[in-house]
Amino acid sequence: MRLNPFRARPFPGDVRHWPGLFTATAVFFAYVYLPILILIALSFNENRTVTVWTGFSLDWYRVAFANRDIVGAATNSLIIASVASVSATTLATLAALRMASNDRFLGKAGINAVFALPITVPEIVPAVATLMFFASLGFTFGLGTVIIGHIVFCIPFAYLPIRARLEGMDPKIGEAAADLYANPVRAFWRVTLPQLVPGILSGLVLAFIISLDDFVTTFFLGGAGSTTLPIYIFGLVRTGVTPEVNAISSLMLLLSLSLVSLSLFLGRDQNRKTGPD
Amino acid sequence: MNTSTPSSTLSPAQDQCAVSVRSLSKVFGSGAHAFRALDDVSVDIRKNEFFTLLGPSGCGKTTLLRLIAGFEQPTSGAVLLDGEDLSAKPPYQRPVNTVFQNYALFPHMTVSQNISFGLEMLGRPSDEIKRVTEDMLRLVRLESMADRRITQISGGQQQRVALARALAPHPKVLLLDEPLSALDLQLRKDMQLELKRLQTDTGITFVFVTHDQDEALTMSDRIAVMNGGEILQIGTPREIYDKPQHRFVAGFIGEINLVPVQAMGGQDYAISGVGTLRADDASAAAKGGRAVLAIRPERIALSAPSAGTLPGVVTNVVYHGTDTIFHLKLADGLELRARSQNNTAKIQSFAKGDHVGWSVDAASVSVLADDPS
Repeated sequence: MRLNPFRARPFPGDVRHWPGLFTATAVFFAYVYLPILILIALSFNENRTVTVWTGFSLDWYRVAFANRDIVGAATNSLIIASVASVSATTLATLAALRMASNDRFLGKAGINAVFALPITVPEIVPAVATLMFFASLGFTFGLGTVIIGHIVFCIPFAYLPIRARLEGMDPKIGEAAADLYANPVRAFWRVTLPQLVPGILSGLVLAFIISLDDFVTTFFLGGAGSTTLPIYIFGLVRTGVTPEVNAISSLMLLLSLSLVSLSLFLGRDQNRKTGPD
Repeated sequence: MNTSTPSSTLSPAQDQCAVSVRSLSKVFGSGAHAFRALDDVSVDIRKNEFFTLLGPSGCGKTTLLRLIAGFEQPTSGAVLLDGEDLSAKPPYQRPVNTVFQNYALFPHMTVSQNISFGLEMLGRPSDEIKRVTEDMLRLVRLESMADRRITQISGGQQQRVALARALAPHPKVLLLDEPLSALDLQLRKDMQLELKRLQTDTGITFVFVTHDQDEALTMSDRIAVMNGGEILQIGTPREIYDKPQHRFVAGFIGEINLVPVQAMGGQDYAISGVGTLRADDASAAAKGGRAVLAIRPERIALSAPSAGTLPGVVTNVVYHGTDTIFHLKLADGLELRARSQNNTAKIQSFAKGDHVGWSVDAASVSVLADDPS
């Protein structure tokens, strides 16, 4: 039902009326999401054969949680993701605060450009480079080296939402705090940081998910006892997909989705007007 | 007719000054990109005064305000508060507060948290903070909004919160940076009276920055008119309006006729091809020198041509309801505008093409130097 009579006849170039738009969109989403939905459905299949549905069961989740290797890998994943995301977010916050100040210093533009580089560089390149670097220093590969590697590629993901939040803040607010007798330290804790919190949490969650999901860097920098869930699942799949893998994958998906939702919720614009004007 | 009193034009005694600005200059940038925002400005602002800095954008008025607040460091000169040099003090140690143009309220705090922030930072006891915050809420009539978030109140209410927040620590001087510019016309008119009331009630010195001449004339005790980083004239609204001492001041505030003349000596000035006009202005130009007479349109009296008047031809009549504006063409092509109030039903009126006589009381004529600026 069109409410606006002037909209009734679309002009020919209007993208909303291209032929086949609906079909193409439906095919695209089916291609991307149908396999995932099937994987989730099959994780509740009671049959051992992955492709034949015989009935509903939570057995594979029980099996997965009883498997000490899986629990160990999940623990590693959570340790790495927690340490890496917190460290990366702390560093990113400090960097964003410095970069957002309106003074100029040598190399500021260059540093700003380099910050986003880890997102655009193929992950394999820094992974191999770091592997060789650590090897030449004689490091023992394990959780420590993986965490260092993860901190590095997590920094830009944490940095971007924090920086965006800072850009959106009224620069006069810092002056207002100083004008009202807050010295720089108190102005930071009472005025700047509370307003930055949504950006920081958003960056933290993003960094956590990116780290949790990582395969390449973990694979190159890992060693004995640093197997993470993605590495473990990769190992299982090589010997044939079992419903157990479906169960673990579904759980990881659930965790990622909840964290992304949380991140979107926290990062929403809290300064928009909700009251009367 | 002459309302200027000697005391208001002289520099006030030192113990009456809240803020003393001494030869203050501010240069932004350096080398070829240097911009002199403030050029050797000196002004004494008295205690309990509503003092307005008036000028077009880029005239240096906001820079002067920011130098007093401490957000900028002067290139040279000093700012004294109650005789004490503030130069070495950062903004958070200066007993002055600012109402920002876009309010700069803390969006993550409620209305009352915003208002009490300054008192908390000063380390005042909590019962005092509570009492003063409540007083301030009452003063700006926002008692019912105390626990609202800043994002949940209207622009006019935000404006009042910004005022209350800046007044709560009871500063020696309140700086206001075009605080009314974001409000619509009716709200702005109301707030003008409200601000004046607050200033009278609190007895705090207000330094108010605006580019709006109406605001300046309505609220101020004294006005400093600024242009190009300099203060051109300081005086009461009446002095600024009636006796502009500078061509820019005359043109910036209200409508005015600027008539080029030649000094005849004494108080007489010749308008070439028209006649002679008297002006009892102390700043008389030297005999034979060129000058400009500034005459407000409403001070020009129109009548039928007679011996005591100067000649002119009506070229246009514009009716404005409360008054009518007559455009006159003087004999040599000079234009003049006369405004006559429509305050009686029967009024002597003129039509386009009429030959009329016009005259001005000598006290209503200002003599300006004939410089092109």
